[in-house]
Amino acid sequence: MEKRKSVSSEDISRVEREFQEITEIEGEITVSEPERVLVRNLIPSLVTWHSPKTGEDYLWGNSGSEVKVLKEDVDFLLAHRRKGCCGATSSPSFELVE
Amino acid sequence: MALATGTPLGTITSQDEIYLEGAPNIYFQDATATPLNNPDVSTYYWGLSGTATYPVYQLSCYLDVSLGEDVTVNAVRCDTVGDKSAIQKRNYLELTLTLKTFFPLSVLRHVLNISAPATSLTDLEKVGIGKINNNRFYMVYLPKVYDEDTGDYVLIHLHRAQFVDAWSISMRSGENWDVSGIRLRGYADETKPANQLFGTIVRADPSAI
Repeated sequence: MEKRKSVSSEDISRVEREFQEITEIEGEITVSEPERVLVRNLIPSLVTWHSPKTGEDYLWGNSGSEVKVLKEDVDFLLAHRRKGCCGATSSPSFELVE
Repeated sequence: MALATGTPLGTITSQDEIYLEGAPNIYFQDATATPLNNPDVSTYYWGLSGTATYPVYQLSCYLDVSLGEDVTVNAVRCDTVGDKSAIQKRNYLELTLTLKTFFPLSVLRHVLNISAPATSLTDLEKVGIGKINNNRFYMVYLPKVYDEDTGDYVLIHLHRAQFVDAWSISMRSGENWDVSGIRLRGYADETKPANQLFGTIVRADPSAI
């Protein structure tokens, strides 16, 4: 059986270098989350929507609830409006959360 | 015109020659929200301000609007002279109307005391008819502009009202559906000062006041 060598300071620094390289590589391959925007429901109702564009399903609780929405779906939601009566203009169904 | 004779002496306050016509706009909002003026500089509570969490709802087309009250009146009767006075106690105010518009269900559901709606954004709106939630109260706001040129208005604000009584939807041939039996009962709100326990009336008329 081969006799175990003692660990030199060179060995330690080599291991540290390799570990650093691996960490850097792992950092590069991390998958970033798709960009989302917080959107608030203004319809006094539980609201569900299946986006035909992204295929994402959304569910808002009652009026005032907020959901993180894919950036590609935001334009449709902000353009969606409810009819108004009695001289009032139509009101938006959603708003961006600042 | 003053009478030549028979006019009382001293200070007289007479009414304005202003006549109101037609129903006011009808708005309501969850009573959990605070009124717009909470209070105003004169310590009166009135007005609505819609938020995402507590939106203001507006009824669109209605008729037979009437505001009244329920008062218990008991005479103070003495067998010697008859009634000497009366003890009166206001129990509630009551707004009654018949509604001609139905949609959206997210507004109608409050009027009919039915469940919270679910909306599929592009095509469907659903509500269930279940038990009545007796813990839902609303502020009711009834503004009436009586001079369109000057913007003079009167408004009535109820602090804590509930839709009560059984509704009835008429579905007659050749006529539009209507919902009758709508009764908004305005109760005392004990968080408000004694002089405006049930509500507030505000009149804005710079040329006449």
